[in-house]
Amino acid sequence: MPEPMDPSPRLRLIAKLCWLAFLVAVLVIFAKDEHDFVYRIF
Amino acid sequence: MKLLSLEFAGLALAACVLLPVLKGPLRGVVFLVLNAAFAASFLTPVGQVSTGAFLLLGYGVARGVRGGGTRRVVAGVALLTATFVYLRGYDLVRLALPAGFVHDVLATAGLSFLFFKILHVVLDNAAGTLGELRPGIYVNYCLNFTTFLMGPIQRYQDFHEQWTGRRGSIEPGFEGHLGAVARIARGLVKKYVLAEFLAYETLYPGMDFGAFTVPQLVVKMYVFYAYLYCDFSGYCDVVIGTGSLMGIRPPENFRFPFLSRNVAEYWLRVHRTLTAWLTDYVFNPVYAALLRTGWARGRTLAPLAIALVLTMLVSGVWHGTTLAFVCFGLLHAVFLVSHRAYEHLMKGAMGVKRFRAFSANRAVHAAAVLVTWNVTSVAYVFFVLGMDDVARLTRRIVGA
Repeated sequence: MPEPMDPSPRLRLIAKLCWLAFLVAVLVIFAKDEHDFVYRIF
Repeated sequence: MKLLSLEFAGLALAACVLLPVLKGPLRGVVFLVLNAAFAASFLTPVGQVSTGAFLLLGYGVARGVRGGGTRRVVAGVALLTATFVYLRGYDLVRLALPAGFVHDVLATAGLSFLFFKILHVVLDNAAGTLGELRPGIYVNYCLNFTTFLMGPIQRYQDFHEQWTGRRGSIEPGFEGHLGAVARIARGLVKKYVLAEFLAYETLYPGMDFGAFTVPQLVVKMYVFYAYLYCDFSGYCDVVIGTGSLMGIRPPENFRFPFLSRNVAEYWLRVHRTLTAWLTDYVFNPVYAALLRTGWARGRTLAPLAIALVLTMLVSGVWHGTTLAFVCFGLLHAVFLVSHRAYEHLMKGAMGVKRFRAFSANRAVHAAAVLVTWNVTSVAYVFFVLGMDDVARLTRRIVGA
């Protein structure tokens, strides 16, 4: 009888892709470039 | 060239695609072109020349000190330091030199990081611990666009190992690459979403303190800490992710500084590559030299305090060119010395075992985190405001 596939690696990959998609969406919607204090210091 | 720009995306993509597949001298040339393009976007033509001259000077000094004795090392370090101080345009230099000798146009981006990288090469080469110093690798190490502008301060040996393929920069496979891309996206969100959002509510030079209540000003002080963390650690996430993909991963620079239980631990969690540099090249040599003197015999805290004050003074002066940065460094020195004195006294009074158990207590732990968070926030006031603004802010708070 074949053993059931361990879903965790695939789930982990899907979770990572979802996380990346979320970050990109946040970036696209909210990103601004008006303050750059750290650049000015160094 | 901002991180959130098509120019940087193109440059990073070119590096991530070309560097892993190219071989031999062409790889070095392509990387140099990319690095030069990045550096040139921040520098005036005169700044480019002065940066190039500083690099050459550093290489010459690094070659010259190998096997040359202590005097030659001291002379080389003094020459590089004087050049750095002049190029950086410190307030002190402006006061000391006639107006015609100070040129703003010479001021170059990323000079503080470049200076520490070059000094590290010089000192390690003098000690014989650098390994092989090759001009092509040296120039790309110094100008590496992922660490040029704001660190992390990578060591030459680390760069060399990864450049020559002796050590990998990323976990092989799709997931490793996906993780690096997610790291870049996370960094961009921290820097261009979170930090930008916080920037509206933080302290800034020249602000009208009278328009805010004291509690509002205190909140703004905390917000600056969070803003700086998001901005700087976000920047580091982007360059670490990019570096991992192109084959030369810069070292980690942050590890949740908000969780520090004391200021010594805070410096091990914030700007970690700077702390490691200062420990190796300022604190350790000074502390060891003091311990070798007869004066240190029987004194536990005094040599440690002197080494800490000197290290944090260097840290303050390195961070910025004004008196406020000196105060930032000295304030941290006061915190560090106080922490060591507290530990010393408590261990004397309670014994080491009981003091460890006391420190591990949850309530004490939480209180320690809170105190550290507050004192480090206060120190950042000097980081963001000039001395005039700090005086105005103090008058506003005391007068309230």
